Amino acid sequence: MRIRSLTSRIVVFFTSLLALVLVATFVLVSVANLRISRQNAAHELVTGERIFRRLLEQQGQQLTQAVSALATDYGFRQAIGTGDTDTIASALANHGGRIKADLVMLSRLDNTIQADTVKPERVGKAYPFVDLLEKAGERGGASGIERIDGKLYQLVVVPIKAPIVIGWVTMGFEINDEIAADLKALAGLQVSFLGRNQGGWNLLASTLPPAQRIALNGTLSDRQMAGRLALEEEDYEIRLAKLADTPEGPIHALLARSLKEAMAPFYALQGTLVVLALVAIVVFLLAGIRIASRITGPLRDLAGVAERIQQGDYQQKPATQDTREIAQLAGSLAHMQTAIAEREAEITKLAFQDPLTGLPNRVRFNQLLDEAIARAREHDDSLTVLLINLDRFQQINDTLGHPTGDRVLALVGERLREAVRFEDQVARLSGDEYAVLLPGVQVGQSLPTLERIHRTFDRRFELGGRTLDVRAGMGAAGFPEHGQNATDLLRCADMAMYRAKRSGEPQMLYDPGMQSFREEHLSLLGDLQQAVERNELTLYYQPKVSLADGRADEAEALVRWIHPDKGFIPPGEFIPFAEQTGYIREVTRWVLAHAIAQAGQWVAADHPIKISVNLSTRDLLDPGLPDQVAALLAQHAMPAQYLCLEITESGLMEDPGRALDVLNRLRALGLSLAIDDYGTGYSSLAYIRRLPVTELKIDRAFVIELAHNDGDAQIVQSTIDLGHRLGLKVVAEGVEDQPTVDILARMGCDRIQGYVFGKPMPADAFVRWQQEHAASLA
Amino acid sequence: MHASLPRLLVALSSLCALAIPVEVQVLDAAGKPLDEVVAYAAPLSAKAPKGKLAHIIDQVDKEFVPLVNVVQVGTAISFPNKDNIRHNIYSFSPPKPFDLKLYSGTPSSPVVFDKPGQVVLGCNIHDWMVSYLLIVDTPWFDKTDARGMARLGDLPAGEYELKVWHPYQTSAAPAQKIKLGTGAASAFAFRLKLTPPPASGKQNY
Repeated sequence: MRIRSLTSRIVVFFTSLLALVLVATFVLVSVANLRISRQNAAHELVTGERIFRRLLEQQGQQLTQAVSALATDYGFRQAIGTGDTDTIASALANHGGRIKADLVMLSRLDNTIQADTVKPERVGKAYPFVDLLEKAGERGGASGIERIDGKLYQLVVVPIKAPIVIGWVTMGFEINDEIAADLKALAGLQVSFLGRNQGGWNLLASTLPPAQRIALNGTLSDRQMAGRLALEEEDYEIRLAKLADTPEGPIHALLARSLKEAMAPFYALQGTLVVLALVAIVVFLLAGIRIASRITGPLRDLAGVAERIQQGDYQQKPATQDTREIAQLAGSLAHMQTAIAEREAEITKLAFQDPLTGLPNRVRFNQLLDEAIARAREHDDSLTVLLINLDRFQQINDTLGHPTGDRVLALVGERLREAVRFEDQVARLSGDEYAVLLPGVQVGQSLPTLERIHRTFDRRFELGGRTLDVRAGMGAAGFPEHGQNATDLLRCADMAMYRAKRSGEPQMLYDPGMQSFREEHLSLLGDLQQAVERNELTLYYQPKVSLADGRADEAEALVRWIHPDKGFIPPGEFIPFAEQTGYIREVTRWVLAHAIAQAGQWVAADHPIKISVNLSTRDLLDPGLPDQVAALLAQHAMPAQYLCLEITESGLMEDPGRALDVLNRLRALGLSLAIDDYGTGYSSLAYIRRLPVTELKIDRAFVIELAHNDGDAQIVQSTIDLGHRLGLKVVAEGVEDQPTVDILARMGCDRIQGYVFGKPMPADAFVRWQQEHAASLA
Repeated sequence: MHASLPRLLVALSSLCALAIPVEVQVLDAAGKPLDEVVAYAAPLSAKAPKGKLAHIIDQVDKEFVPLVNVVQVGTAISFPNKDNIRHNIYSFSPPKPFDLKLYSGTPSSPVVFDKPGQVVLGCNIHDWMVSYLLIVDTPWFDKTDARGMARLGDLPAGEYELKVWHPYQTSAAPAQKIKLGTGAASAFAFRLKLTPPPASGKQNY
């Protein structure tokens, strides 16, 4: 288990260290003490043996003196000197009894036993303790340890003088447990007297408890002279001291020092040490915990501060610390808190703000919208969401580059911001899509705002000396009518905007009917594929009238879709899908086939009409297109001169090399090529000059305001002039009134397409219209 | 006066027979003369005549004086106490066990030693006091002097057993059988080994 708390680690570490030192001390002291105690015990034994021997000697001397005194008693001597054997024996017993001798013997000068109080049958036999006798002869008395009949005696031999030595009296004092106990009391050692003979060791007297005596008897073989001996679980340090050699074998004293007793002070010291160590550890633990707490307390406080920073609270002031290191840490934490707060603000800004326009981004707008919805719901109020999408912004980016596109986006943002109230929120959701939140505005009342926004796009954008016309589609949805949450509201606004763009309206309010339309939209592609296969598509023709002679011998073929269930579907509804999915190639092929077939019929009927067909970007990148066109022309026996293919500027930009190759091959077939929507794509005439085109079609945007806008008039005029200079025919489309026709005629425009002459119409209607028109000319 | 009777007897015997003066010298193993050794001649052929039958053993300065004594059987020995303290005299020796109670001065009656043998005398209140007494059945005895010489007196011709004795002797010297007569030797020598007992110091009790 790992200890994770710093407090615990500090306390555990230092306490362990202390414990280690204490244990080491304890072990060292114990080892030393143990050795000293053992040595002491051994030394005590040596001393004890000396004392023991001295005691025996003293006892011998005392007894000798006592016996000597007794032996000089006149009556005793008289009895011995003159008495008969019985008298002598009774005198011996009597005087022996006086000093409590256990045995009294009388021996003659010829070393025969004359009397014996214990065993009278020994009388007449040789006296056995001649050595003692000799010593007594030299010193006037002697004592020694002897064994008689298996009993141990301290024998005292003194002469009997009358007044010269007439015999020897020997008194024996049995050495029994009592004597051993006396010796033990004096020497402080366990004393055992051991005899040895042929039969081995036997215990003669001892101070040991009975059980240990038995154990000792069992271990008596081959005893060493000193060392350790365990008796009945008690340890002794022992020493064997030889006391005497007797006729019955040597006598030894086994001196034993109980190690338990010897070690008692040592164990007491050990106990004290343990108690001291425990007290020290406890004190150390408490002190350690206190000190560690003083270290870790501030750390915990700071950890708390850090945790609150983690939770987003950046306004804390770490408490002032008295420790320098902790104070530094606290300071660092405070700095870190500030830095994190700043960085988080920056990140928040980046996360919630569109860096290009400085407006809130989609995430932020969703938040704002959520909050606004919550507020509106709370106050029973309304709000409106607007979605604004720029028209053809991709083309601006493609033709003028991203820096210009970014500039446009920023300018649009500024204008939107200017067009709304202070409390309204403007956001850029993505690419060219903006959103406006109008709190407190019912969707039905949002039209003034929409109008105001719309008007901001009337002003053209000035960019590096170039003016740009940027348009946008807008959709609006309102809470609570259209949706109860941000997602629903935005989807509704998106659908409204989509419908506005497709239908060419500048803005549209959401209508629940759009929902079903939108859902059906998804199946549109499948329907379109069916439409191509089942010929549900139809071609309409809009006349392109020559201003020079008024003839309407040219027309643009426009595709129309009459859905069997849904009826008429505007091209704006399905052409963009076809382009996105690539299915536009099938559509173009269908249109080309049918337009060429129609034109071929008209050629065959001898009133040829030059037909224009729109090509999409993808068509321009299809290398097989020229061959297909050539095949169709051949199939319908149609001269190429009656076919014109219209391309957009942006269509050339995706892959100019490949597009140019396709164009060159188409032109080589002899057909005409026109630049459609000219003026919206910003390609210069110098660039167009390099293309194999024959015709320019000025975009309706320039034409609509022509009569009222001098700028547009100048652009149109210069376009016509430059077009002619490049040898191109110039066509104006979207012309709706006669004054514009007149202006364009003055400007030298070659042809005009627009409602002023005729709407797109089916082939037979077109033929009828053309005949009426021709008639009107005549 | 006490010397007059033997001399008279010698004179008498010399009248009837020849009287021969006998000398005995006692030396130790190294040839040094030993003094205070008893020498005596016991007649083998005739009954010994009675000699002087009185002897004195003094007690002077807590010692018996002399240490070694020799008397003829039947001698009465008086024990005058010359000290100013009392003494006891006892003997457990078989020839004459006796016990004189503590006394001072001279006891009224002397002790008669009527059996031959050795007697050791002691004082039971002064353990070191000892005196050795040899009781012989002959009037011809003497103790050697400093030159180791003992003069047994003038002995009638005849056969004798010549012996020496000392209480410290390690073993008895063999007796010499002698025949005294005209022209026969009258001087004899003995070798004796003495082992004095361990000094049991006189104490001033």
